[in-house]
Amino acid sequence: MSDLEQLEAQGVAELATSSDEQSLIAWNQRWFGKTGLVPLALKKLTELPGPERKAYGQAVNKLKEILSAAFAKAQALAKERALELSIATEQLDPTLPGKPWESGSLHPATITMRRILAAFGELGYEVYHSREVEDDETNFGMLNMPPHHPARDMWDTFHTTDPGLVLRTHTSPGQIHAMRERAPNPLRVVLPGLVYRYEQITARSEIMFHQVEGLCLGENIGLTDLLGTLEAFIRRLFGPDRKVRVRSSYFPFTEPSIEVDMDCILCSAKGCPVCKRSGWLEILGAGMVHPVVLRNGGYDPDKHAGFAFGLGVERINMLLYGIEDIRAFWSGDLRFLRSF
Amino acid sequence: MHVSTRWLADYVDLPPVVELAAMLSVAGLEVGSARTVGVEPFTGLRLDDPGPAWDRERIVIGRIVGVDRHPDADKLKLPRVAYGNGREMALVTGAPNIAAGDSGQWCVLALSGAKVIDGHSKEKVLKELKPTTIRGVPSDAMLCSAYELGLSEDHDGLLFLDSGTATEGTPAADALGDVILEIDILPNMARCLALTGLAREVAALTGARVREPDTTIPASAATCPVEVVIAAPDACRRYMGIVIEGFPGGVSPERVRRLLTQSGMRPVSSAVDITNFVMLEQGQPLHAFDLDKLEARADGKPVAIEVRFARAEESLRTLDGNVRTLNSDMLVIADAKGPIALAGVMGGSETEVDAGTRRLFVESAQFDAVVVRKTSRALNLFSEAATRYTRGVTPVLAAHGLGRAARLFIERGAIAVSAPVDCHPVPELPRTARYDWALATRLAGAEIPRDRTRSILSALEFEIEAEDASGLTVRIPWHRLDVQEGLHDIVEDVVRLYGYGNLQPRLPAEAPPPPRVNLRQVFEDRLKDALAGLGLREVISYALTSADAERVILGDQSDGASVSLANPISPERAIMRRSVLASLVAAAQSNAARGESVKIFELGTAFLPVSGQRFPREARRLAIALSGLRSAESAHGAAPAVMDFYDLKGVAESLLAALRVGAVQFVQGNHEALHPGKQALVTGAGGVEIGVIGELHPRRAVALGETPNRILVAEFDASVLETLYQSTFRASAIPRFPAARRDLAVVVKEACAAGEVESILRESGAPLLAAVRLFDLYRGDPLGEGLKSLAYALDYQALDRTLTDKEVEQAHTRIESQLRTRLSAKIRGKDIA
Ligand SMILES: [Zn+2]
Repeated sequence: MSDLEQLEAQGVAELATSSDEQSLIAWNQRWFGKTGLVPLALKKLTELPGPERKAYGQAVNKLKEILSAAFAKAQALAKERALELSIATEQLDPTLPGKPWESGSLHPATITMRRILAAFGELGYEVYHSREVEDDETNFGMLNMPPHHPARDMWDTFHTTDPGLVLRTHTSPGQIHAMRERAPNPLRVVLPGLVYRYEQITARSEIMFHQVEGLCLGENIGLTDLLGTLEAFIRRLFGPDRKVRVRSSYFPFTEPSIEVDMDCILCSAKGCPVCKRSGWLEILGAGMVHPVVLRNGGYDPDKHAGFAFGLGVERINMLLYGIEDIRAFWSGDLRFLRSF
Repeated sequence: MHVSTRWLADYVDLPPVVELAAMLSVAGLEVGSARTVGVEPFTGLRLDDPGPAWDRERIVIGRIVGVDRHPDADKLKLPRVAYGNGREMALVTGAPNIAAGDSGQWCVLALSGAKVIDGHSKEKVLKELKPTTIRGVPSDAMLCSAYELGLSEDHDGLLFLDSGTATEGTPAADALGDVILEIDILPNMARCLALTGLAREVAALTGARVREPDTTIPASAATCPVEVVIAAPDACRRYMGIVIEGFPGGVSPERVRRLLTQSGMRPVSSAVDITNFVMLEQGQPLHAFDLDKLEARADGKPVAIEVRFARAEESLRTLDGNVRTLNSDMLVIADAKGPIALAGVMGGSETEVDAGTRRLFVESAQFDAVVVRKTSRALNLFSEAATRYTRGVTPVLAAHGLGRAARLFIERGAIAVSAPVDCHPVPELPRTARYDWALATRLAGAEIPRDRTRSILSALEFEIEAEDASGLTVRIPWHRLDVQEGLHDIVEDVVRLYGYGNLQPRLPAEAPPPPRVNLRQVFEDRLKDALAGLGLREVISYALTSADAERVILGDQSDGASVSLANPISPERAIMRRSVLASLVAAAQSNAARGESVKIFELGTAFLPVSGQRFPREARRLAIALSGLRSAESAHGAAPAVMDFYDLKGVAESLLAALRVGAVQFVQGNHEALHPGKQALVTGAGGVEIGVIGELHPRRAVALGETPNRILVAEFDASVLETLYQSTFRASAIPRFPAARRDLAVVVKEACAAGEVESILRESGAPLLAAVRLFDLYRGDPLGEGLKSLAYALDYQALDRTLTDKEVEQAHTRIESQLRTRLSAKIRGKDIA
């Protein structure tokens, strides 16, 4: 066996005992480092007489190739073994809680208001805002409730110390503003916002809540258009299978006036405390805009007709989320708000 | 209104009660709930506080056939009661309104096994009757009081029925049982504040016929001795009266007292009960004066009364015993001596009918709704009469009410009635309205068959006077004061009875107007989404607050002008808020005090009075509050940090970036409510003020209440943000050429603001400097006193090529030299170690 053959056998044998990364690095240093055995063997070439050099050179190169290949193989094997070991030993407790990563949230009034506005948006309604501190004339008078009209008792009103200035009791005065701005053009607006009522604050009644009012005016708008619109809305908001019941009602600013119920989603219309055992939930008040209101808004009741409707957002949220105490909404309490 | 269905059935045949309730609700007379009296509870309606159901076998009508003395006890009596089919029951009772020797009274007999309300228990509980022996005499049954049956609170003795109520042995439930409906009468349904009005509605809905009682005024040769003058004809369009002579007084029949009780009125005396009975039946309020007392006041002259407005300084003691000071807006009935009644509201106590009254003057009048409403409100005095007058009573009804009352007085024993006095300066003309087919179809949005329309109108007592091709001329029934705006009112009635459910819903065929986007809504949605995305929760607070509650933010300015309520529900909710932040810090405090980590925001309205203007400015404001740990504590890794000013600034920066508000600067601020050393004023392009951020001033925080950590707050003017918000923008492209990063550590004096260093970096690094990131701030050795080191990562990049080392080096060197000359800065690793 030549020296080189012996060297090869030695290298392979040493490699076989180097199984971890550390000893592989040491092996590589010993054999291929600057003063390693392979470079050393190559150096010998210069000491040889001319004719022998070629054969020796080839033999050293061969040695180099064999050992390099063996090293690469050993290295890959070591990596694989290390990976196997780590997979086998890495085990965590998947039942430990995750790291806190709390999300933000929107107020339920915002969430539901957006759904309502979006549903009407699809039906061609534009959002219109109007003031919350309103004059008596716009809040009542223009809406067909002259001073001392008995219907004023339907709204318990906060009066300001400035005579004739009130906190709006409903979003309806916005109808007057919108109509006066747009008359005599066709109109489809939804008016979202806060309204105020002089009430005692209890689990079921609040002094402040959100309302959405809608108004649709045109030349040929009738009661059946109102019914279709509200039915479409209720089904968009509460599901396509909802049944709708219309009851005759009274609002001074609409005539005819109706109230729209849907079958109770809490008891599947079997009757429960929330629906007063009737199986029906009251969702909207609506009607055909009263000719006096049309006139006050700058429209000619002989040429134009239209409908208006309104609903309370908190009432709907109480139904949707099973909220029993209305005071939760303005509490600012994170224990409530975290639900959303 | 409480409606006894037993009473209502006197005037019209009724469908089963649940069906009736649903029918009325759909027709605009919402039945909110019902109360059962004696009958079995049922489903389909909310039942309020039902009384006991009377066992049909064991609680029956009986007739006393004799009463014997108890051998051992004077107070006890031994009645014998017949209860049908020859059966008789002997029992023991201690009731005070029965005596030995009595017979013939009709009563309610409860046999053993029956359940009645325990008359001896303080609470209303049911007890089951068991056979017993009282002082040696066996008693297997009892005679009931109204209280024990749950009919009323009357506890004083046995309930005696009018003869003819029912036969012996009839189940009490059949004879006396009732279902009381609670009906919400809306203003346009005021006619249904009377049973006859309600009966007309039922009849129109079911097709049944109304049984009207006789309301004609009985003929009399005697003229009315009371003279009447209407001095305020606008406020009183009709005043009628009649004199009743020889009225025996006493109490009303049991049935009348029972029906009044079920309707929510207290039985008083036979005379007063008649006036209330007629009001509930006909809707016409009546008032009865004691004629002897009126005559005594007249000092021998004929009684002359006047309907006029009160004079200054006049007063009246009303029936409830209170002395009322009157003013000239209040309508009174007065005689020569002064007011004797508040017209339409309440009578005076001096001329009140009492137990000894035998001669009466009964008033039946129309008073103006607004006048009565004003009086009633001004005196805070509400009565059933006032309720009806404020909703509108037609002058026509006065005659019906008076006629019905006169007949009842005769029925109850009055010897004579006079002819009526009737002051009716301007009699009502019949009113007609036009029902135009085409307009009705347009309003309904569907064609209602003409035959159906005609039959509905006639069911509602609209008489068709004429008909032509385009429509009908109808006479409006006298009892329909609500029919004002001609066609609309009548179409409402037609549709109501035709049934909304029979109209085919459709969507408007007309094209909607050109869509317009509400930009405020778009902006506010974006803003809320951005904050929720940053991990904040939205809060909505009361817009009603108090000056004290706003002091935390407004300081002494809190005593300034505000929109104040004239009728606040409490001092805490007496003004409209001027600071949204003040509301939000209160929410932050109460959450933080509970140990919560607080990250909240509110977008709301501040109401700012503007001098010389009628309406306040309704300013949209965004408030943010943070307090406590950055995230919840957990088992993983180090404890989370407590949020500080820079957390808040990070939120503000991210929000402004999300809204693409450009040229934002944070400069030292001087807001009084914020910590002087930990606050910034936020400005946008051109230096416009956007808002403030900072730590709530520790002194202000003290007044708010304890919190474990300080509260960080921000307030932005949302309308300014809206103007700066860029809803359209170009997205960043992915760079095609790599960036070259160079780090730069600059040593500057402590007083030198980081913002200043950064602006020099950006200015002198342009255009190749693409990004600047401060990653380390260091003070201490070896820098020495008063110096700090700011270490930045700088990214150099060009869009069109890979930068050469030389280009980067040039730019970097330019930055370094600018820092040296403008800030006397030293570059670490070059100028110092
Ligand atoms: Zn239900």
